[in-house]
Amino acid sequence: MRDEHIQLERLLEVGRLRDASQLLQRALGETPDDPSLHVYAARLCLAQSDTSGARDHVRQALRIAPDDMAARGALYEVELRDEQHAEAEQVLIPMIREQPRNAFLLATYARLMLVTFQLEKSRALVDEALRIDPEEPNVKLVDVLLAIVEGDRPRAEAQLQELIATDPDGEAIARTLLAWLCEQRRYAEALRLAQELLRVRPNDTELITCIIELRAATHWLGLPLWPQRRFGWLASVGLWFGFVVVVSVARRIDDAALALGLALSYLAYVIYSWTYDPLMRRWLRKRGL
Amino acid sequence: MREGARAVRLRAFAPAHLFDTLRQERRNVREDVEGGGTGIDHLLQPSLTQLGRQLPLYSVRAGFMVAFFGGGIASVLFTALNSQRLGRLARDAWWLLLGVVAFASLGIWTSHLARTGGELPWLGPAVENARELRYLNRALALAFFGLAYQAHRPYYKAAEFAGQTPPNPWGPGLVIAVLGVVAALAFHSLASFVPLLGASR
Repeated sequence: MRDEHIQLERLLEVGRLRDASQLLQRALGETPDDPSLHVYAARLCLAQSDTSGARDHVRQALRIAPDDMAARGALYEVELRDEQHAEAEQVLIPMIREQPRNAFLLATYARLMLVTFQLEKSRALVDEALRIDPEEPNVKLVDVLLAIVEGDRPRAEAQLQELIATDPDGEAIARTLLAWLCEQRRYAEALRLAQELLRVRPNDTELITCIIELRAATHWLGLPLWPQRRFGWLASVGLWFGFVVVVSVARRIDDAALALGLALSYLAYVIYSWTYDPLMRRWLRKRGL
Repeated sequence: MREGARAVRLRAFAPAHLFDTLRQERRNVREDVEGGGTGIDHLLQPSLTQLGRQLPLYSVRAGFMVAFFGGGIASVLFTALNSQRLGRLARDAWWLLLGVVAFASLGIWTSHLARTGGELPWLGPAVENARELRYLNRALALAFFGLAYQAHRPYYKAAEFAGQTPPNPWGPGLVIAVLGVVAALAFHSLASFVPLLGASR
């Protein structure tokens, strides 16, 4: 690998996009027909949310080297980013046919199937990938996500523990752990982890949104919403049922004031539960992290 | 009555970029030496081309609200809407129809009892327990919503990981809730035309 490539790799990894851009401009000026440079340029564009620019660079790379796997992989990422899932699938399938025992590719396809609700196919692909390479981390990551989706918590937990044991500092693993903690409604721990991740990726807007939502979920002002946070919709149904029972009892003992008081309290709680999250998030955004 | 903290919407994990890890010289790819098939050809048929663009699901909260305010029929209709967006309406049709039949039967039966002065099991005269009947209908509608949520739960989770934003439910939700109320009135009218065996006068 050329020195420039190594440098670009490093700069993109740590998020020094301006430096990467300058280096790329220089390198492309010297060797405009290097497909790898166009792939790096596509990555840079994707990091800057410029899918149109990324697509142009990918086209350039494929024009120079139509069979270059990295360029085809870049095209896949661009289609995915543009939510052109069918097109992304059309890019990925031939790559898998060329490397049918590439567990990473199978895991990538499984992930695509997961986000397009083809859950049975996703599971079949993950199982095949695990059969080929049970230790490949990306396969395990998709397996964790799929297990969460399927409601198979023991499987998700077991895979996650193995992943953390092999690579405790891995960012992708940390993000998956974050998803797991949120799934378990362990919002305080999730918040701490998200804040650590933000130190590594300070410009990640989705992470910032995640932290704001977790802050709202763990703020002391949100304590009365604990039943809903812990038990979800069941708590809402239970509270409504409890309200109905209590008001019915108040009616039967002919205590109109009590019945009215209970009704107003319940209404106040409903309004509070509706308005707390949006107001808190707005306030947290204004206040800043 | 509000759902638990909205599940934090996370974009699926960001693995090492595909285009980075596919450099042949850096990957230890174990090729199929024999060059024969790998038995996964059936998995490598495109699934998404014929589906068209994926439609996002309506949120769980929207489903809960429609069930709460619109009743059983509204809950079934709203669930059918999500089934259709998932492309599994045919698969879900049997239990959706079962829901329609169950809620229609319940609506006609309770209306008939109210008209004829009949008694409900454990509750007594239907006329005197109209409020309890409404609570019962609502509870059953929420129970159906719970079952529908369980059936679609994996897809709600997958939508979270995909970072999908649920569409605005107000339009279809209001229409369906109104349809639910209209259906309840229709059952009330139908009750006068349906003779029920053993109904007390």
